[in-house]
Order: sequence, then structure tokens, then C-alpha cells
Amino acid sequence: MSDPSLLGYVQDVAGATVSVVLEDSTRSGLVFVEGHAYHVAQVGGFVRIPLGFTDLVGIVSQAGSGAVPERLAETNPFGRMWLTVQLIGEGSPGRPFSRGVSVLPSLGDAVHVMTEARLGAVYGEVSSPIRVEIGRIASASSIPALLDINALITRHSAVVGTTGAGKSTTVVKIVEAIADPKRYPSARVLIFDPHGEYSAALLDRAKTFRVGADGPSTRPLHVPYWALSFEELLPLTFGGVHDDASTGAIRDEIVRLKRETLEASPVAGVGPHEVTVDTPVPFSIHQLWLDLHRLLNATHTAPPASQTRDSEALLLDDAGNPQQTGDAITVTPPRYQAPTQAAGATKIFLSGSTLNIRRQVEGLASRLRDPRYDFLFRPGPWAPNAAGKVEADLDKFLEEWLGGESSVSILDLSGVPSEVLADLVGSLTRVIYESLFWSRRLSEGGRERPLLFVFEEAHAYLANRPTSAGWAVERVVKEGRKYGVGAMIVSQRPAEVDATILSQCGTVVALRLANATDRGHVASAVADNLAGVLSMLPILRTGEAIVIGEAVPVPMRVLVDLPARLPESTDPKVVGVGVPGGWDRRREPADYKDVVARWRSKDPTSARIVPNPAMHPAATEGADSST
Amino acid sequence: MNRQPVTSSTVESVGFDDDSSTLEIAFHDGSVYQYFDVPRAVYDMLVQAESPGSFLHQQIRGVYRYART
Repeated sequence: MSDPSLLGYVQDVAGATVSVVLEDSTRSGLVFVEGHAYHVAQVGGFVRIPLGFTDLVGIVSQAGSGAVPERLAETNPFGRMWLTVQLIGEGSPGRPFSRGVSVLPSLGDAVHVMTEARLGAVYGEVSSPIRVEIGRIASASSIPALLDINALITRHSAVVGTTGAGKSTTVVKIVEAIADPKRYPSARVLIFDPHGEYSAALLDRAKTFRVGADGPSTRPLHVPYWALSFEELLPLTFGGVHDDASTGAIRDEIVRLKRETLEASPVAGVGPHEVTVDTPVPFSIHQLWLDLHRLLNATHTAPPASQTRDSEALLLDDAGNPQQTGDAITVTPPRYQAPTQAAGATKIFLSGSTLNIRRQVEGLASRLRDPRYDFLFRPGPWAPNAAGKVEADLDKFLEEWLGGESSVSILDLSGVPSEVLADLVGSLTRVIYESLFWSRRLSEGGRERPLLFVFEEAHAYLANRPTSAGWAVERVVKEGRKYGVGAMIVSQRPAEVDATILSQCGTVVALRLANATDRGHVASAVADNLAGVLSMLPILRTGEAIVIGEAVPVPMRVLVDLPARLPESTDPKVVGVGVPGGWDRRREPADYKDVVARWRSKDPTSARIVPNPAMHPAATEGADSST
Repeated sequence: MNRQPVTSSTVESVGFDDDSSTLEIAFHDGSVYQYFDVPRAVYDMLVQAESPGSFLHQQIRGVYRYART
């Protein structure tokens, strides 16, 4: 009796593409092996070509009469059924599966269906400590879908899919799997979350930082502006400064302030004479503003050539004291006497400064006064006083974000003004990357304890034009592998994400993607000859993904498991059956004061919520009742 | 506030805070809601109900104001 798993025979070999003619016995479309039914000629399915001691493994890319080799199409148009198979690797019962083939099949070699047991060996061992499970193989639900965590983190990844295809849920599932406190207690993940979707879903293993937050599970987001480089600080503070003389003047002022700080309170690692404008040393941006304001706007009792600080003509009150000398921290400008050259009166001269940055300095003053920017310019314990002294140094900042007891830090950027979002993401990425880069030999550093950055809604700040976020993330995806810093790019519009960044992603998790331009960008970013399997992208079910690249031995179609908690981006139920909301309920008493209060405070948690003392009230209660 | 588990296909556990008359309901999908100004008696009935899911649907949903935690 013939082998029941036999499908057909090799008829044509062209490189890694093999044409197979099907046996008559497979006409029914199903074969039965060891009690399991297998579909024949299923695009995306696997076949096995035994070749001596090894088995070649291939993936079906086309089936039917269209797969007839061109030469035979005329003589044998509707004869037997054909399969086109792409060879992807080889394995044998004794050896694990490996990518790439060492020998090609010969004409007439038998082609078999892959049984579930053999398929399991191809997809990888379940118990391996480097693999995490994110779901099940769509075509064989008994086989878990495993990702190689080493390749996933250090070779970077992209999660793409149309809105509503299950992108955020997939990200939560992956983060949940890699930040499993039992398996990987030292995992380290930093999520940039522009819409504030993730904190609820990762409540038990993440700490959330949000602008203006002060809850038990969310902490205020503070960004010490003085840790940013000069290039990053300029757009956030002065806006555009276009001439070299002005940039130079601002740079000199910052270096002077930083040097003064170091002279007053020395820190380890850098002395007052080694400081550059980019050294992360505290200085007061408020003092910088006041100094520049005085330089540009003061009137003087001396002509321009001999003006000093002491020659400033402050406006005096009746008792002869200055009315307002200016205050840096409250951004109050000093008041000066009006310039006059009239005969008889004391001559008052305009400032002799030739710097052309009055508009930018005014803009800085306005931002310093704007409470929306307090997270940046008044960053809590990291806010320097006018002399540049801070309560807490950067170590506390890094420890809060990267250390601490939870593995995942969520930076909820929903309260950040949108005009600075891209610059902010870029600056933070660079600050964290640089600290892990220079600490690469320490146990806290990136090589010893790698970090995964998750860039949610990446198209919003990693667009196809040079942005500061683009530069920083590009550096992470190009060099991060060596220093233990990985990136996960999450986007619904891959076509709008910078192509360089996307092409560096070793693993692509592609959910349903209908737009042809987006699909083209994903296919071109996949470094595999198997981009053909991506043709299935428009017909994937919600929560179904094609995973392709370095983290998986073979491309696989995965039904992603639902995480324990869903992200807030899941579709609301318009007709809610079994949930509190929805249009089908009677209307309960409304309180639009609370609505406005949420809006004004930019904190979605109602003030009426009774806070829970413990993180897991149900678990604590269960423990109590059992004793 | 401490919640106690209930037998239901949708509701996982419920709790009540007497000081603020707040009813807390945790669902099996992990979401937690708080209903405000709920009388204690309603909570007692919910705990004892044969089907807490349908009691919630009929007697609480659409009657009291709520918020997600």
C-alpha cells in the first residue's frame, strides 16, 4: 500500500521554486494520515520532500492549473493538478529544522504532506526558554505559535495592520508574554503610547507615566529638558533659530550656565571645563530666558559700546527702588526706563545687542508660562532652581523609568501638546539609548539587560520626512542590536513610516492590511523570498497575523491569543449585551460636570472612583477567605 | 474595595463600599466598573441573585451612573 501522506512528484525545479504534479489519489482534496485529515493544495500549507537522510521543507505558494509550468501549459492545459512550492529549509528526525537548503530535489522525488507531529518540529520546541507563545498556528490549532525572543527584541520588529484588525491586542499579548514575571523577571519594555491605550491592559505589570497624573498606579510624566542635546532642545524651546550667530550665542549661554552649575555642585563624570552644550548637566532654562531677555531688551544708561549689566536702566518707583527686577522662575520680565535722547534729561540708550532672536525669546517665555509644558520645563524633582540646582539627578529619572519593580513602563503621551510629540519621542529615545549605550558594561546596561522600545502609532512621528524622532529611532534600529536596545514599530499606515526604519525590522507581524500601498511597503521590507505569503493579508481574520522573519523558523499564520486584559482601543459595543454600556440601555442619571472635569484635567479616571488599596483586591480577598 | 466572586458567565466578582454607596463589578474580560449611589439592598440582591448577569442587566444597567476604573 502506498504511503497515505504522499501528495505527488517533483516535475520541475527552478532554484528554490519546485513544481509538483499531484497524484490521482489526492483528487478528493483531503488526505488522511494517522487519523488526521489534511487539506491538499492549501496555499500557505507545508510539504516535505524526503531526500536521503534529510527532509526538505517547502511552502505551497500556488495550486491548481495556474501552477502548471509554462512549457507544459500548452500541451497539457487541464491535465493533472499542480502545486508550486517554495523551498524554505531542511530538517530530519534527528536534527532540528534549519533555514536554507543544502541540496535541491531531483525530478521524480516524492512530495508528502507535513503531518502535525513533523510540523511541530518545524515550528520549534514549546519548552525552549528563548521562545514565547503568542497564539496558535491558524491551520493546526494544536501547535503553539512561538517567537524567538532573542531575535524579536534585538533584531527589531514591526506590527502592522488596519485599524480594528487587532494590532493593539497583539502588542499587548506579545508584551504580556515577554514581560512574564515568572519566566523573565528582569524583562524591560518601554512603550510610547500616544493615545493612552495600554495602561489598563497591562495594569498588573506596568507603571504608567502621564502628564499631570498622581494616582497610585500612574505617576506624573516628567522630562528633564536639561538632559536633551542642544539640537533637540532648540525646537522645543526657541522654535526655529536660523542664523549661526544666534545659535552660537544661545549655545554659549547654555554652556556658561551648565559650567556654573558644575562649579557650585560638582557631579561625578564631568568637570566644569569638560562640559559641552550637550552634556546632561542641569541648568535653568528660566535663567537662560531672563539672561537673554535682559541682553536684548534692557535699556542702559551707557552707550552700546560700554553697556554692562550694571548700566541697565531699571524703572524706579518713588522711593528710588527698582519696580521690577525680573524673576526667572515665574517668567516675569524686568521693567526698564523708556529710551530717550532728549536734551536735558539723563540719556537712556537701547540695548546694543545685534542678536536677532527677540521673537524666539518671546516664544520661549510664552512656552515657559504655558502649563501644558510644565512636564518639560518644571519637571518635578528634576526642575533646577535659577542657580541650576536640582533635587534629584538623572539617576533617579532612569531608575524610575528603567529600573523599579515592574518590567514595563508606559509613557502615556496623550496630554503632550501635539506640536512637540515627534521631538519629544525622539529626545526620550535618544536619552534612554545613550544611557544604555554608555553603560553597556554594567549590569544595568543594555547588553546585560536589553530594553525593548515599543513605538505605538509610529506613523504619527516616524513619517517619511526627517524628524528628530526619525533620527533617534533610526539610530536604535541600525545600531541598537549591538547594545541590547530593540524597537517594535507599531503602525496602521506602514506606507507612511520611514522606509529605512521599516526595512530594519527583522520580524514582521502583519495583521489584516487592505490598502495595496501599505502591503507593498510591508512586502518590500520583508527580507524573505517568501513575501508571497503576504498576499493573504487582505483576507486575514481579526486577530489573525502572518509572522515572517527572524523570530520564527518559517513564516506562520497565527491566531493570536487574547491577552488577560484587553487594551482600551477595542471597539466599543454600540449594542451592549452583557456589558454596562451601549445604546440598548435605559438612560441613567448623567453628570456632564464630570465629563468637563475629565476633559480639563486630561485624566480619564472619574473623581468618584473609590480607589483600591491593593493592586489585586480579588486575589487578596480570596487569600483571606481561605485562611 | 474588596470584591467577592459570584457565579456568572459575565460577572467575575462584585464589591460594595458603604461610605460612598459605590458598587464595583469586575467582568471576566478583566474590565472593572463602579456604579455610583447604589443602595446597599441592591448589592445584597445582586450577590444573592440566581443569575447576577441578568440582575445586573435588568436592575442596575441603565439605572445608576457608572464609570470604568
